[in-house]
Amino acid sequence: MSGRGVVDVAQPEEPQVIRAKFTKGAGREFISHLDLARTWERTLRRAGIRMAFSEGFNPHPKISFASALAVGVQSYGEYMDVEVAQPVPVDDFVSRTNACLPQGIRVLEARPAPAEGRSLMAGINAAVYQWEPEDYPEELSPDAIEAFLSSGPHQVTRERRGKKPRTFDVVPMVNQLKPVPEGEQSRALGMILQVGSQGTLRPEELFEALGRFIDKDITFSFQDLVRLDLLYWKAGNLVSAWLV
Amino acid sequence: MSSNPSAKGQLTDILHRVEKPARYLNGEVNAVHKDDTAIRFAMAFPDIYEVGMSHLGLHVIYNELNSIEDVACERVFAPWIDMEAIMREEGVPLFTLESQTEVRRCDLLGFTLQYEMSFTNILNLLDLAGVPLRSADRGPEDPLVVGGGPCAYNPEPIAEFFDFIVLGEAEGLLERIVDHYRTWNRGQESRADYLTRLARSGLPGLYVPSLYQVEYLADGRVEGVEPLVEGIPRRVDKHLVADLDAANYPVRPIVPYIDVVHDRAMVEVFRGCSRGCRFCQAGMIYRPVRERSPERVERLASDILEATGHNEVSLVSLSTTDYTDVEKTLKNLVDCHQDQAIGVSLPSLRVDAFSVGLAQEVQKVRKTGLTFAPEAGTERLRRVINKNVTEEDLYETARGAFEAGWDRLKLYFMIGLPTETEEDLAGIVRLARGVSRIYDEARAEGSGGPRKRPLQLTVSVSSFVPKAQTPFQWEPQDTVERLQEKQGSLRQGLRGRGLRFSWHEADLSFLEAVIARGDRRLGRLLERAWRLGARFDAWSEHFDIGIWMRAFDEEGIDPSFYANRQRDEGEVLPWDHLSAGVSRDFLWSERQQALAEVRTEDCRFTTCSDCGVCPGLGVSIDVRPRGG
Repeated sequence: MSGRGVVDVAQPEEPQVIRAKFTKGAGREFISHLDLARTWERTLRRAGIRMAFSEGFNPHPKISFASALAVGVQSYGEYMDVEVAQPVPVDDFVSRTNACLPQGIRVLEARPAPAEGRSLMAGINAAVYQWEPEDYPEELSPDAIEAFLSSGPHQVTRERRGKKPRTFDVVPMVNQLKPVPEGEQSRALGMILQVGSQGTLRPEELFEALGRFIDKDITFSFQDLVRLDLLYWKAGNLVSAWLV
Repeated sequence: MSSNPSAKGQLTDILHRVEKPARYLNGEVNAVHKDDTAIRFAMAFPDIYEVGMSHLGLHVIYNELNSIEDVACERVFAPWIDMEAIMREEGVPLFTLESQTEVRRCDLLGFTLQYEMSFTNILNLLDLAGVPLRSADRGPEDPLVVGGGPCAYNPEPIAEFFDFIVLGEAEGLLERIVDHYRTWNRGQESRADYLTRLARSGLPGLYVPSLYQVEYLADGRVEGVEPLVEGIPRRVDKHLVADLDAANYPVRPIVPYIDVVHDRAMVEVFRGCSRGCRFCQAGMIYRPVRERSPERVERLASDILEATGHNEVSLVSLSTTDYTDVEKTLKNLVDCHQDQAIGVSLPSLRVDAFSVGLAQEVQKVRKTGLTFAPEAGTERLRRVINKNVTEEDLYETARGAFEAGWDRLKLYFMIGLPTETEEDLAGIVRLARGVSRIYDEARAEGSGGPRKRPLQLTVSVSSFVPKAQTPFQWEPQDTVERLQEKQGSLRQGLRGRGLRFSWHEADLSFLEAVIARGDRRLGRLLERAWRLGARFDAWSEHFDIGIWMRAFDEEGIDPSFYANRQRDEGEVLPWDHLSAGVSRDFLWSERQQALAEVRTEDCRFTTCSDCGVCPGLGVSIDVRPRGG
């Protein structure tokens, strides 16, 4: 007889993975990635969405996220995949989860995940950000940014817990960097930065290098930053996370 | 009363600079927000968010008060060190989570009195709120400051900081207190007059410390505690709920974002415990045993899970394996929720085979550890404390657990109990070794499955702290030196593969013993220690005995008078005017039984042991079999 007997948790009759795009808005930017995962599990339970679970001693729901977002940053484009044990129409999924989500988190859209797709975590490799400070530094002109990107290397050093610090060049990890609107009265910077398994460039690291290049301390705060979307490199193009 | 826009405007900016900002955020699922209310009640838990949110009592009070239409109960927790520094630096006053109202603008400010080592946090919170520390110094606009919880049974060290204290259970009483509060016209009636009127209201459990005068003998002992005005009770009796099924229950508890200490749905299956362990304050002050019906427990579990989305439900009480219908209730809960991978947990297990069977049922969904509490090393000492477990019980239980596949066990003991000898200490080591040996036998036989590693055995040893309203309230605590010697000898004895020995700081237990049986003169000590920087004393990384010893010195207070002194039968104890219903005569006779090494049976299963609760408070033991 074994005290470690495992009971059957719900398993899907026909596996269905739902991909959802959601926001992490005002107030909820302070919830860490782990807390967000727990919040989602509880939301799906409250919404009565029957999730599929891993097997083993401590079954976990099969939920996965595209990319961790730094604490303090709001987002309009986070993605998650959830495997459900009971098929649910995507419109239902959206309305039921939105009725149960805490204020500040909202599902914008849900679709069936592509049948032959990869995991979101493995697939996503770029993040779109916008940085909009109260006073946009005039030194960050289109020309200066062009010069920054075509010079280099621009090294930054990342401290790592329990490991040696790592020094790397930020430029190859910047896919796009441009003032918005382009021209004289720019008030924000739009950027597409590498994220994911091949390495992640943090916005604050980019600003450290940028500040050094223009020789001016840029007051960078997560309060002024918002993540707009997550993208996927496919056949030489950056495409929507829906296609991962 | 108005909210505080300045705190609101600064908050986001501040949250970007502190560790775990979600501690200070509102907007969790099931949090209650009310804009226009007649009464705003700030409910403060004097520890951090993660600790406070794990406490069922907080959810009970929150629910009880918010179910009154024009009352808003809003939470307040102790800001962590980093947040406090910013608040002080930038002049941000303490605010409530829900509406960010300044605490000093609230009508009432409640503190839960869970443990003595949170008392400096209470002072710190009052100070951060800008509310005068002492009741006597508060003006007409300040909130009424109220406390309740287990430490209310000896609140004397903090008595001067409270306007009133409530003894007993919240359900059914808070609404009456709030209704009484409505009769106070702050413009016309002074605070002191109102408090006198409140004390005379006849509401149960109400204690207004400022209306009682404490006199002392020349040798420092209490001579007597006398009411200063007519018409207030000489002895304040606790309030309690007679029928738990009929009481409100927080079926929509707040769901924290961050990982809190106990992150699960909690269903209280019964209140009180009559096992009668003589060191245990909870076992005395929460009497008599009153159960919820199994049907109600199962319904509550489903409702809470539906409202929260938790993946675990815990059946809580002082000793859940004693719940009359525990077996069937547990099985039903597991069966009902297992397909959604919802686990059921039991916070504590009795030392017997029945408990191992229950643990196995629980294990079906989620793997858990096993913890047993023999409390003392020999049967003699266990008879003294009335913890009626035999050595054979423990070995049989352990054998059952190992055969069922467990390879991790935790054992709880206490040192410094009255009459303890070297033999009792050696008994702790012997029991631990005996349990390890049984595991090795099971492993050699191959029962419970193949195993590579040795038993992972944790022996956790705390130091006995004599508490008010218990049979040991007259007893001295061991000195710190003696406790440390005992810890040292256990550390020597409990070495080996897979064996882990953990203990509590003796200094901390000593201070706890001082405050737990302190009198009003300790108010000065608490204030001094807080001014010297004491806070979060329950957190070992913040506790600093040096601060406290300096405070004792500066206030001319001898801590050993409180911690290490034997009281005699006739001594007036600082809490004699406060009653949990258990009579002083019963406590003394239990003390005598302890010294005579005589057991007292559990009144649920045998005859009444005459503790005085049922006749005194007009209630009775209430057990609820299924369908009953």
